[in-house]
Amino acid sequence: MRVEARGLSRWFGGVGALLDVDFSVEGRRIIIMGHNGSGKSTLLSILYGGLFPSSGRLLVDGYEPYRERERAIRDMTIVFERPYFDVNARVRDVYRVLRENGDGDCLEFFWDVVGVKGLGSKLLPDLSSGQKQLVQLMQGLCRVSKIKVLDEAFSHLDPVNVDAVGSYIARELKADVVLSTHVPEEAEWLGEYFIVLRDGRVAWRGTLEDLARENIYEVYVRGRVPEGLEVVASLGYVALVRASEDVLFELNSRGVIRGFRRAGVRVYYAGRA
Amino acid sequence: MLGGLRVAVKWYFRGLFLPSVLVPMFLLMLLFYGLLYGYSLGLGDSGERFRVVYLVVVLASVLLNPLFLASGVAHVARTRDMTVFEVSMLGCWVCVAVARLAALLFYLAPYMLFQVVALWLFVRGVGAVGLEVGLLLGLSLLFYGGIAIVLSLGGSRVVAVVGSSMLTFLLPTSVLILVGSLTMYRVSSLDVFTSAVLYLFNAPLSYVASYLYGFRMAFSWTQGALLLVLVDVLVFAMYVYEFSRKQELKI
Repeated sequence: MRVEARGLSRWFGGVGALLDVDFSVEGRRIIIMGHNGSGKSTLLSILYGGLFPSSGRLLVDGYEPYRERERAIRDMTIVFERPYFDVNARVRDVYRVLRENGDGDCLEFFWDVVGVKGLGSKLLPDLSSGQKQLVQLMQGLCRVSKIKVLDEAFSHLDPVNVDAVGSYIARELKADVVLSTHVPEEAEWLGEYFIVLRDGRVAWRGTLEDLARENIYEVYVRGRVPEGLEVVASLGYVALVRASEDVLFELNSRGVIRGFRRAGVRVYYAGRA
Repeated sequence: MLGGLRVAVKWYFRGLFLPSVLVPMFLLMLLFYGLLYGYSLGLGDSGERFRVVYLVVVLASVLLNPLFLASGVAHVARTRDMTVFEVSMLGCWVCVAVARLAALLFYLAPYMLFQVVALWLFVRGVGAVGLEVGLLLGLSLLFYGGIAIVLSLGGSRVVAVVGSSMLTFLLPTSVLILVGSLTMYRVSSLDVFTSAVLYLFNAPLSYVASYLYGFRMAFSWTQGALLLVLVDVLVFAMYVYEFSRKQELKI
């Protein structure tokens, strides 16, 4: 999939949710990260064709999805964070629809392996937030489409289901994915290319390999960051520091720090720019 | 597109006729119509019997139409979240819009049919008037169905249900008041604009009132029916266009 934003802006009243966003990405797993209100959901809404930009353009595989909405919705399925179902339908009704327009293997995975079958007779409004999100994921991942647009799609799932669905996406899903998340580890698990938004603008974009070249590490500190390390950002018990691996290895062996790993997208998510 | 429409129609028809909603409403309707039928049996000539049609139309306009429409709209009006979910699941904007429209019309059809049959029973001795009024009742309800489905674009079920039932009550009631004034001031004929407004807001009542009180509308009942059909088609087409091309749904 190729996604291009050219001077993309979207205003709600006097508030700019996206401000002159420019990027061009080609990849199968694109991750959008950013704080609350950074513009992630607005970007994804424009991407699936549900919102129109105030100015600029967004192209998905060469076309503007909000101008060709029928084509866009054939190509894409959507899963969003807080599903609010207000319909008198049961989970098995969703399953029946997906049996007609969905992927059989995917349905079998959700119905039998993940265990959505056990919720079959429940009314959609009666489901817990995690169960609603599972039904949403079943819909979004199993309805046949080329691109899956997932907006904080795991936020209400327990770790077991995050592992099951995430592993399915990583290993078996044939479609391309655009995923927004607040969880850096989740992003790095599933992502190829990262776009970090801050206050409606692109703060950083690139791959994990791009980050690796910067020699930034996440260090688990005891009390305070040891002297001599260049602190990029401090996040409670984790500090982002610029250092060589040898120095950190030595500090770790002496027990000055409690461990370290190469920093991922948390660097940019934490506010370094 | 056709395959998607079939799946969408099946999805929206599921749970459309809930016995817990329909049984009380049809019982209420049977009660009112039963009372009116009993009243009509005691009336003599056809002119007198025609007065019961006026009562039927008033009853339908201010009570039954808003009730039936509100319960139908409650089924097809969805929150924005639910709409995104359905559009994503069904994979077709137009299919969702058309299926919602079809579900609403299909839901109202038995009620409209009941009205036509009931009116025909009431005024069997007065030619085809019962059928004409019944047809106008149906078309008028479709007009308000169009307004209701357009209101559902707002993404709030409460607004769609309350708004449409209020409009379905208030606009026909305003015609009732207007017709009363026309009668009081002995107006004998109406201009095109007033006639059009009367036909749009409450076609059956305007038709029956003109028949009963002797004021002349600017066009015949068939022209009034045609106007309603044209406006209905236009409103439905606008809804499908607005939903599928212009409605914004942020996730």
